[in-house]
Amino acid sequence: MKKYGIFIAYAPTIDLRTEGLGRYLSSFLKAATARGDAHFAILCPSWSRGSVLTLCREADIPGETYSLIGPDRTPLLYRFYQLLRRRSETEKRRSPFQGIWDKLYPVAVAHAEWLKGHIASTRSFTALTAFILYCASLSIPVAAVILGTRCVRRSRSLTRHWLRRTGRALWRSGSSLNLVSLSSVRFRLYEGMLERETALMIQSGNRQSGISAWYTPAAFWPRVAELKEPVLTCVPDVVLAEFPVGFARLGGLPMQHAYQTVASTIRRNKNFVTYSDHIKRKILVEIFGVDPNAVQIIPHAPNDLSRPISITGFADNEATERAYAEMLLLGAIRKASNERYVSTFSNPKVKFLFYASQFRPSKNVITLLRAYEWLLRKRGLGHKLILTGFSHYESVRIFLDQHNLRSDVLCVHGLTESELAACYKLADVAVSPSLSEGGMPFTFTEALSVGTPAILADIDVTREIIKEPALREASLFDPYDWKALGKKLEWAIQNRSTLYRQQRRFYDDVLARRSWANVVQEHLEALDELAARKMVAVQ
Amino acid sequence: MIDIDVTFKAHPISAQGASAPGMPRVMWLLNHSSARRFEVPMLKACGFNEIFLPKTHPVDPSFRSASIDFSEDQNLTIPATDLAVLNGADWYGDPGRDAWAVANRHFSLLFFIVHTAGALGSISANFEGAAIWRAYGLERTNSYAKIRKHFSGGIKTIERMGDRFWFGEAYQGLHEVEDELLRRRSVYLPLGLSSTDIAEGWTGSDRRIFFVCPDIGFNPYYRAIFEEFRRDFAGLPYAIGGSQPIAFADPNVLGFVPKEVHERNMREMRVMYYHSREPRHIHYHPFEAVRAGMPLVFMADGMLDKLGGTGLPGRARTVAEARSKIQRLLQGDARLIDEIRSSQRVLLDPMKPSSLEHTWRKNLTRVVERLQVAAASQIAVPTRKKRIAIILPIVYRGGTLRAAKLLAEAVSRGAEQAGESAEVVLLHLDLASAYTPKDWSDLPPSVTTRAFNWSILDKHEAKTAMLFDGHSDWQPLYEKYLAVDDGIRQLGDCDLWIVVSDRLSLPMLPMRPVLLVVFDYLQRHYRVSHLDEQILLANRLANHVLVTTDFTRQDALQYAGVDPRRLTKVPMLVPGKGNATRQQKDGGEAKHFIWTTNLAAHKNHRRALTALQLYYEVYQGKLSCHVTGFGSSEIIKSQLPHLEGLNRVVAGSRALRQHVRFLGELSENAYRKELGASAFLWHPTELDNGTFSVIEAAHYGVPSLSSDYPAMREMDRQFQLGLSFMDQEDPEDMAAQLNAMELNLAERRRSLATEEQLNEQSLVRLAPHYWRAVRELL
Repeated sequence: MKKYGIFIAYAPTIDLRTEGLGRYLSSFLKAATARGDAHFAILCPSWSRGSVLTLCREADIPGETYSLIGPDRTPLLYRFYQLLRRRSETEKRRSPFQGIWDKLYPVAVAHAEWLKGHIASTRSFTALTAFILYCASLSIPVAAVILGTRCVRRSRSLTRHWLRRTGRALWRSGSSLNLVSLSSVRFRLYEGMLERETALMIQSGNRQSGISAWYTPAAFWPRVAELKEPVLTCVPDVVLAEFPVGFARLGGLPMQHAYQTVASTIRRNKNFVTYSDHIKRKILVEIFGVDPNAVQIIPHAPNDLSRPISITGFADNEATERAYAEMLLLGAIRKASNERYVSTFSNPKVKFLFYASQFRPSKNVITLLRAYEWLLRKRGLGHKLILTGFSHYESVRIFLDQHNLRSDVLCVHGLTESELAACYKLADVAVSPSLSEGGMPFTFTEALSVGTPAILADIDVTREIIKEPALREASLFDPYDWKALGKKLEWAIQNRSTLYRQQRRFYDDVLARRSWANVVQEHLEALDELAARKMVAVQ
Repeated sequence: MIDIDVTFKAHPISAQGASAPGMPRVMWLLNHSSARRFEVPMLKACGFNEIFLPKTHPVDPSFRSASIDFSEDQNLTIPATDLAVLNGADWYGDPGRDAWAVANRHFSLLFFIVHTAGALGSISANFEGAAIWRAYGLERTNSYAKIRKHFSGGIKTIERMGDRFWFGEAYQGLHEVEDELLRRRSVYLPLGLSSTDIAEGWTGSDRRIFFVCPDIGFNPYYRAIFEEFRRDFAGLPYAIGGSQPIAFADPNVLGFVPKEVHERNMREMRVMYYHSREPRHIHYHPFEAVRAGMPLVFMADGMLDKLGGTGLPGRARTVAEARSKIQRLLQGDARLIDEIRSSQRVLLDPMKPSSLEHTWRKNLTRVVERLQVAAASQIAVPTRKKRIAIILPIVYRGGTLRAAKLLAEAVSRGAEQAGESAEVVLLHLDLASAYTPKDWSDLPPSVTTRAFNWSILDKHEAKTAMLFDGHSDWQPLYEKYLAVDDGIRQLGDCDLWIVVSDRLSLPMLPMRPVLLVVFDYLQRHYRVSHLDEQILLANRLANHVLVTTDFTRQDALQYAGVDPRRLTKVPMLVPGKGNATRQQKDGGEAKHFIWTTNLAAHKNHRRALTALQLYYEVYQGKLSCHVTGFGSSEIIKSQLPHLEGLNRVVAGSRALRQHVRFLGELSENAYRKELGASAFLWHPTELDNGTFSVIEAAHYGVPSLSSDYPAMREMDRQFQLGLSFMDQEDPEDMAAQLNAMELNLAERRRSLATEEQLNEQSLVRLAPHYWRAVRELL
């Protein structure tokens, strides 16, 4: 069995399940492990182990077909960060004394009831006096416990308050000297942690025997070049270069760093793979001056989402599947950021348009929102718009507030694969207005795989795949014109079944002929070739 | 022992659908295949020969064991039309009043399970016989009391049935963890197996553990069991049985297999492992294994212990013990195999139909006898008419007030037409400045009025009031609740509360079912209220919502998120013709047209005035414009943000000053006079639920020019009004269309609906639609 390595070093805050790259990785691994002749050693940071395992488990990737390597204990700094995060996320932790209290309370109540009954019904003055004395004797330890607890709580909160104030004062005086800023300190610490973690990973990777070559699915990690065995680096895209202002406003120092690491990764590595000709020519060759012969194009295979919601064994599988998807959809809707609105939302048959992607300057979400607002307010379209981005994204948040769209545009974040599939299935139309992607947007195949048509921005990567003029006419729109998008959406809703049939034909005849097994095969061939070249060079 | 046949014959319960000779008919409203295989023959053995079985079941992946059986229909001696009604009804939800009427006519005994809130409420409210809630046991952390509370929300349901309700436990002692009501009403109707014969032919040649675990792909409960099994028995060969509606990518998970493959598995697999330690729930497959002769290794402390398994060699107190026994079996330990196989037969004894028949007879006799006693001792209480409250939650004038009065009349007339008379009470806020007795003078005598004030109950008061009203399990979810203080019984005398509009500032105390009549959801399109969240809550908490246009229906579903099952569209009601007389002239002599409006933002005043200016200044329009409606005289004086500066617009245009007259709110007669004399009616509103004024105009033979929005299009279709439309967002187009109206007046008048067409949409004709919706909630 051949052994290959996969190198990833995503930041601790990234939940791979919610990222496109995570979905790509799981599809890749699934197809690769299904071959049965390859084992994958996944080299990842200690903080990503859980996330990778969950990703593989959700994708039903057999445990014996991959192994996790790299440091297994997380840095203390990370653990401290996790602790802070957990504290801010959890509302109130259960007191360690709660268990004792839970047991004592019913006993105390029962005893109080017993006492009450006897005091109320006694006919003897002596007995009454005895009961009262007994009560008084009980009240002393009880009062002591209550007072003691209150004192401890009070002093604890005072100490916390004092520490917080002192910390703030110190920070203010530090900041006033212009020596430090909170974000830069945080970032520098993170950078240091990542740097050290990557170094440990490289050491760990180089200690592994039997790995013929490495594959890294993103160009974020320059040190990957330090691995002993040859490395094939995937460059999905370099969107920062295409949307300089948007990303500069978004991230400041971390974005700058991200760009530098991508640039550095491309400069330090020798062998690349992209998903599209557009990225190869426009980015790697034209911007970074990479030798075109060192870049191989391996396009995506369709991302079939039908499995987690396909139902068999019932008299009416389609109806059961729909009912199941509706249940998942309500669960997904309940995850929307507008919690007060969605918590009692109870229509599982709600009609909606769907866009599954994060919010980034390149995603052109505002154009979609403008088109949607026009459809809702001017064209009488009652649909909702469901997005999977995080609603705190500034431009989206402002647009929704200004246009009173908080109840109709739902940002549902952190969907499971089943929920994502259900959203795609039940949407009237899926849409991708994105201006830049590394390859054909997954929206197209993900939607079609569960029976929903999709419309896409007319961009180079899409045109590379959709070549037939009639299909282009039906499926693409000018992403710089919100009204064109609005009209296309309106048309797509009205002609849903025709559009679906047309696209599905293309999906079945062209796209579905390529599987993830082919993608994996091409990657493994590329890795084998690199390994063979090295062997020859060594010999 | 009481002979069940004799008892029934001696006391035929003919009042409620007795079948010949005296045995009650039974509705067995379940679709579980294995349970049916045992219980239907058992009912027959007890003498119940006529059994109705449901023909639909929820489309739900968890209904994996459900199937539909028509075979019992041939034994039913009820009319085919009635059977068709029963077969078409959804017995897991709310089958509706008509289906219940048929059920009550022919059936006295009903078995049910609870899958939706609708079923629990519907059976309790409608079935007049004895209803047995079939309980097959739940996992340790759950109980039927919890399920009841979950679905009923604490509102009384089965409590209303008194002695006619039974908690039919399939295993003895299930009631022990239930609440007082279920404990008190429990009746033991044990579940068994249709056949307990041990099959010959087990070989055990397939050296694998057979572990049945369905629904791994979507049910977290079973997924966790599967993961636990995989962890505990890692390294041993196994196969996972059970249906997998969602395919699970593991070669050991068999998924759906044909019957013969399943039978082969039961014959050839070496051992079945049963994991459950649940004290009140057991699956079917361990018995199946015993019946097939396959050795069963099971965990202690579960239900198998209660069925005689404590001393069995297949019993394991720990996973390690189970693993060790299984390993021995897999290695071919013939002695252990024989020991387990020969001893485990005892588990089938309590499941034998012959052993259980006596219990079924005895306990069903109790049920039927109790029903007879209840029927015999029923005191003839004079039933009073149903009373329906129609509530105007805020001060409404104009269209909404008129709509509320029409609704009251429609409900009253609808009930009358259906021969189910009901009293209708119209409630309005007790504000002398808002309403005068004259406002109600046009109501029919069957509708009375009451004044009320809202009173606010804190959650403790709300809980107490609900407790006093009999909803002992109800718990407040909100801090405050609204109650209608009519100075009498706070509407406790009414059976249904209909609220006209959803403008409720707090949730209503749910003492009675609440029906909302919602005309629009303008807040989806404009910022019109600071109560958006409360309004949405009112929609979602209501038992039912009525809307009058498709556009509002769409908003109710899409924006308010109302469950489609709780939403009904009824046709729009409009005022009758009254003493309106249709103009016979072509309108050429008219000197003005009417613009009916008020001060609300969506009335589009700014664009309307711009359009008027263009009409007079560019198109040289000849007809003057008379602006009427509540507050219309204030339009150019108001300081409201959306009206600010309009005074300057009018002051700056000589044409507007000359031709536009702001008349304010006119009396009914004055308005009709104005309307009758006008050339046409202009409706430049941006968006709403339509306006009555175009209908009223049609009664006078006056055509209308309207904004082009969905509700007006729907009105045009329903009443065949022949409306002319304009783009309300484009003053140029509005002015051009005003000009076109002026030029083509005679033609526009000809395209108006005839009096006959308008009569077809009269309140009397549409009232049954309203009554049908209302009566389902009574």
